[in-house]
Amino acid sequence: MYERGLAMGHESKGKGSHILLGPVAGPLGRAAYAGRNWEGFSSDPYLSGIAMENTIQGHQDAGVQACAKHWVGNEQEIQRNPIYDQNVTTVKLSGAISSSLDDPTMHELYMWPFANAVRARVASVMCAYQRVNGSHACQNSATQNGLLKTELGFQGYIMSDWGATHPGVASIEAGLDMNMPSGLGPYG
Amino acid sequence: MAVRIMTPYFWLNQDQGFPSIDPSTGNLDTFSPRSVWTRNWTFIGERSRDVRANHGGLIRRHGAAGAVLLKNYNGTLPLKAPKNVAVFGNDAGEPTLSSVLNQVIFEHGTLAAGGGSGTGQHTYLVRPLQALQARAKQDDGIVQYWLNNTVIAASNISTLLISRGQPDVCIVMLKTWAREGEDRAHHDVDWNGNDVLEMLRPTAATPLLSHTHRAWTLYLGPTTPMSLRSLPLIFPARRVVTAW
Repeated sequence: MYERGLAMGHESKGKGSHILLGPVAGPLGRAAYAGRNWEGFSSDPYLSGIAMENTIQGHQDAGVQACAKHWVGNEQEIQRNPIYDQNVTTVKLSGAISSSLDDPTMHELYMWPFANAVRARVASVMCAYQRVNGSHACQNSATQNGLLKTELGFQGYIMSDWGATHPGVASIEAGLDMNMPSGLGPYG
Repeated sequence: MAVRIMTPYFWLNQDQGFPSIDPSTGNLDTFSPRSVWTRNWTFIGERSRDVRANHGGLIRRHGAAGAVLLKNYNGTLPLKAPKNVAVFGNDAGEPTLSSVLNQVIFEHGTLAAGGGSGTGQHTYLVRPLQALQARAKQDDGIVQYWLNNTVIAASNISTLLISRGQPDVCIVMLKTWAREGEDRAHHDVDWNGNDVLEMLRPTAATPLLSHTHRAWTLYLGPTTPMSLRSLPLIFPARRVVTAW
């Protein structure tokens, strides 16, 4: 796992990329239907965590920043983003799905491999498209400020998934550090 | 915020001697294509530089190491230098349309990457059939193959194989597509994959190795369960299939 991470890191650096947008611990693999399960390592939190740790170590030893993603609960692709009126794009027809997680489920399953990632000193974490317990992941103070930056003591920066930032200041106050790819619009 | 963002940059010494951005990557930016750039970014340095090093060999080794044997019925594995290998399924052979298919659904040919942010493009791809042929040749064996699922599912296996006796082993390679932005509608194998397995199952007094969704399943007879079809999908890199 480490060798693989190191090799990928070398390739990224060779191409001039400062950050590699991986590895993936979410989706963890709640449902076999999910379209992005194949990007992660395992639906077992422990194994996923080991893989995250080794992979991040490899990427960063090669001199490239890693980005643990997606934080957190991104277990479905359908309706991961709000749905907007195609003609009047400021009109939201439907909200994004919300992953409902209680405390033990969050800690024992979905958050677990991210703890390994933080311990491996991952440079960045990417917040997800969908909502967590009602609030969008990239403006969710409980998950970003509470779990990631306080409980896990994450010292790096949180970047948004592409277009996952919906408000401005509210996101910043909720713990988001970097809005990608920039701008605020009806992405989806 | 600024401290959090810039600390990794300096901690990893990215401000010293970092390679320039490969000019060819500008054209790969599908999220923000050149036409919408607000600045006239200038790329410097070598274009399309080769960063592969010795990674092909690593991929092969990692692929083998990453394979998990879930169950080995009747000690059939490891195979003992089979002289007559039968290969079935649309995931064994060469992508017949093109070598540069990316994030496009295609029926014929091995699938090595899913769609979306995690996708990849290969500089070369070793097909499972190619690897099996090379391996069988080492033992002076033959490989017979059928790659069209529709044909296989509609046939009687006895009419498909050269009657040189029972094959020493039947290997089934099937695939299923997944990509970012979509969820799968069912747990079945794409392109009549289920029917292919059904057709081959009764014949397996010969050991049957099946590779669906990147999971091997071994069948030894009609009563062996076909329960491993819905394992999560993983995709091999360009050389992992040679790890066989």
